[in-house]
Amino acid sequence: MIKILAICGMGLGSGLLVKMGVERVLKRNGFDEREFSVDVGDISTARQVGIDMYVTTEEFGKQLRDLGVPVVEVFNLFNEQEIEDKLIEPYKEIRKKKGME
Amino acid sequence: MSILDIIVQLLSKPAILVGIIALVGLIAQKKPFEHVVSGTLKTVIGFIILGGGAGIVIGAITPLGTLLQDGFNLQGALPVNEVFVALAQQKLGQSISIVFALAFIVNLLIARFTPWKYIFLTGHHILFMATLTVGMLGLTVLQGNQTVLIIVASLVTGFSMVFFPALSAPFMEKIIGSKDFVMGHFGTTTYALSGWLGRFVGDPKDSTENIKFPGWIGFMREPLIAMGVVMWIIYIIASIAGLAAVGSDQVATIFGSTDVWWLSSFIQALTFAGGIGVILLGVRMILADIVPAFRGFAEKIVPEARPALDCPTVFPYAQNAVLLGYIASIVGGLVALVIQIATGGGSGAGLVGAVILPSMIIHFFVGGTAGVFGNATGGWKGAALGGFLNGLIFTLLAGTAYVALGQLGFSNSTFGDTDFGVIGNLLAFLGSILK
Repeated sequence: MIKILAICGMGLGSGLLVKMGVERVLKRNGFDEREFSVDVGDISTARQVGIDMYVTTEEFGKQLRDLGVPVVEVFNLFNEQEIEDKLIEPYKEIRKKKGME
Repeated sequence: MSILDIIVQLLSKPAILVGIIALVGLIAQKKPFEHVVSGTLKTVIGFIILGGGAGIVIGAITPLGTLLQDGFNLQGALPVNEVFVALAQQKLGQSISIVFALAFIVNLLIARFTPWKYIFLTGHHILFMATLTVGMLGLTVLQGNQTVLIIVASLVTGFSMVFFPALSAPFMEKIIGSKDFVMGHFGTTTYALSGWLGRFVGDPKDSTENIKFPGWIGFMREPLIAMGVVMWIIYIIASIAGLAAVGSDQVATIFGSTDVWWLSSFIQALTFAGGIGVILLGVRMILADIVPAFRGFAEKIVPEARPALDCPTVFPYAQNAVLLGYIASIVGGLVALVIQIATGGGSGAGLVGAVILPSMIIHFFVGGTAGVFGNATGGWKGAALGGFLNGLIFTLLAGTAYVALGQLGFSNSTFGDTDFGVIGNLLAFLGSILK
């Protein structure tokens, strides 16, 4: 299971937009929705163990880059094309590392 | 016990009701079986967490109320939507859950059959608006008439879900440079005001993005942390007033702890922030599967509609404007606070309503967004004016709305964002006429 966390300030509205975008993009690219989970979180509790990838804005990304896991930073939180362009490569890397292909 | 009794019992539990909404949504999205089960249960658990967070927050702010009373002879209310919703669920949960679901349908119908083609995707604000309308109407004209209450509250909430986004649309095009989405956040009264006034006070060429802000200010961008820090400051001021008025022994009794007063203040302030964190987790779990399902329906029924999105979606377009609007909003809020105290609000209901204490969550999100709107039409001057007016207006509106809501007795807590203030006051006014 690849655990993805979508981060915004409060972990409510914008984080949920990102979560929806990520789920749609991954499904569209043929990944089984049983192999990943996307949760929403707020920036104050974002630093957790067991997360494989973060998706957030540049503003919050800065605070997460030192965790040693991929941090995908998007500008337009609703733009699935932008999410797709930035997400797919690091996602495939994680799959490879976990021996999922 | 008959089957009917059991059904009535099930449907009278708000947690089960939202669970059913999520269940329908998950099945409609054709999710795998295990997702349907876990998603439904998570929604119910989220609802239960909401109540737990409310308990933590109440415990943490109760001493503050007593200190303000003893030290300044002042009653004050905190405008934190999350807390208000969590508390209201305990009394009005059933109606609120039903309105929450029906409001989606009203939004879909308006978008389908009128030129206002907007779909409101900010789930927590739908929940807040549903709570406000049920609270306001259920208290006044529609007390004891649940069916009419649910219908009217659903119509008002659903209408707000297209009206306010429509109001934001012309300004949103300027900010994001496209028609991709509009604002779906109930602070739009001040966003539109800020965008409209901007061109009279400044020039978008003098953009906030040319200003350099000091780096240390960054921690203020974390709402939970800013909320905790400001709560500590408020607690310290109240404690000092309390020490002067009733002495250190009494202050220790109020805190229920033998610790020194500033340490008790610190712990209570951060407990408050912790409680908000718990409520956020609950709200997040409630929305996680309901909003995507709503979006899925909307895309089938009104494919040409534009989504109305949460306010931080515009933050990347003018990050400094967010900070400037935020700071200006705090100043505006403090001015309003002084006005409220000077006009006798400390007794609970003065000439311009009750005293509303500063809420960093609203200053940050609504003040910051007002800054982005003001910056788009009037540069940094527009951003500063927009933020200032936001703090001033939301604090005053929350003060008058609180007087009407106060009868609910929700432990000195009320609503913040301006659109809640506008709708809340409007409903309270209509209610007082019609009653």
